[in-house]
Amino acid sequence: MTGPDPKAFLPLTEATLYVLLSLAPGRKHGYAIRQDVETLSDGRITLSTSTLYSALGRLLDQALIARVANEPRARPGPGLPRKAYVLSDLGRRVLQAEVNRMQTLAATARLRLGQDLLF
Amino acid sequence: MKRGVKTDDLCAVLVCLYERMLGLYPRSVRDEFGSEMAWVFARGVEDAARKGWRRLLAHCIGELRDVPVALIEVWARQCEGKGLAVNTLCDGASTLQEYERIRWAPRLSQAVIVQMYAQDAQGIVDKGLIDRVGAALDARAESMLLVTRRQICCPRCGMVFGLGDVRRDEDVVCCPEQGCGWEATFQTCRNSWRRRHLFGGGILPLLEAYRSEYSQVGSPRAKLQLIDRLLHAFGRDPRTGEIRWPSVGHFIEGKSPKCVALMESLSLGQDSTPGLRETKQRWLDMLRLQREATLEAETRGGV
Repeated sequence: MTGPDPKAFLPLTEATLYVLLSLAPGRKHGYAIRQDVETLSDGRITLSTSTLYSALGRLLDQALIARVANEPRARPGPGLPRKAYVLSDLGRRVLQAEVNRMQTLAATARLRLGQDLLF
Repeated sequence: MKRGVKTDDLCAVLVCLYERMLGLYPRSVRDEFGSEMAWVFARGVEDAARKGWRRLLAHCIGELRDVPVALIEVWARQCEGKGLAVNTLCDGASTLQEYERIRWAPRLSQAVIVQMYAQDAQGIVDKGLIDRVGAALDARAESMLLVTRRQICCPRCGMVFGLGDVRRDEDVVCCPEQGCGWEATFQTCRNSWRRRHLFGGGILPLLEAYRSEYSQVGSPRAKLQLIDRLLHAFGRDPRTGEIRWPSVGHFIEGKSPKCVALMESLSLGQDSTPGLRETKQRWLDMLRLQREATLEAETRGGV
């Protein structure tokens, strides 16, 4: 079976990378993704609502993430039923490919910097 | 910041303004993400307000700053795949091939429905309009039947075939017609029907009945009666057979509650086509019963 090549989605924007990374451990709803991205980036990136949902819409269209049934609530309460997002198989492969790409890039940069230091 | 009535009021105003601004997004995006976005924005505003005025101001500026770019991106994506899906070929390359897009019949505009009923209430039989609405609903019913049965009409050769056990996004769907060779990923197929209100599990028999009867009736008034019955149909739970929801949202643009409100607001006149009044009365009775049942269930849940 031939599926879409993960490399066709690379390189990812920083916001997209963080959203996918945020979903790597498991399902999250929109607000949790936003908070997690802030934590992951050490407060450097704060996704606005419009950027977050623009990214989520695009990732859904590309099938890198999927929407899952609402999170079950421990107790019924007021507020919006949360819609959760999960990383799809393709999304995980794309994330892995991006990490590999960055590792290669970093290794090349380290090597070049190391050589520069030697001479 | 000391939170008080003023802060709460300010947050409420900001959320209200943001909800208004969501009107700039395409309808499909509003339908899918609107309430969620408003909720996330409200939570963000509350959190920022707790941390002080400066944080709240920075939060609002950040939100405002990103809106234009997000709007451009969302609208561009919307225009690219307006009502259609972009075929993603097996090699992963996205190519826009207009003639090979998977197409589904869209919902009808509210204005057309209002016009049709208004004319009928005045005793005007607009054959052309009724034919257009009837044919559009026929196409819509066909699309819904196909999607609900997990079938696709090949955009290249027109053959209808089932998707079988294909469920993974990266799986490839191929047209079985000899010599056709059309293929797409399941993701492409799924994207083609997503967010288009095409699943009609609870109204399959009604769709089949409409299609079969529509091809047989000849007079405009008979067609209008058929159209009216379909628009006033109620979906049933496929498992229990229990009447659950008005199905008008499948056929008319807009959120389901707004479509229901539209149907409620349509007035009939002395010269309306016979049978329409009775159909509407039955529909209103069922709607009332459904609302009472929902209210009762909510009350029970609340207790």
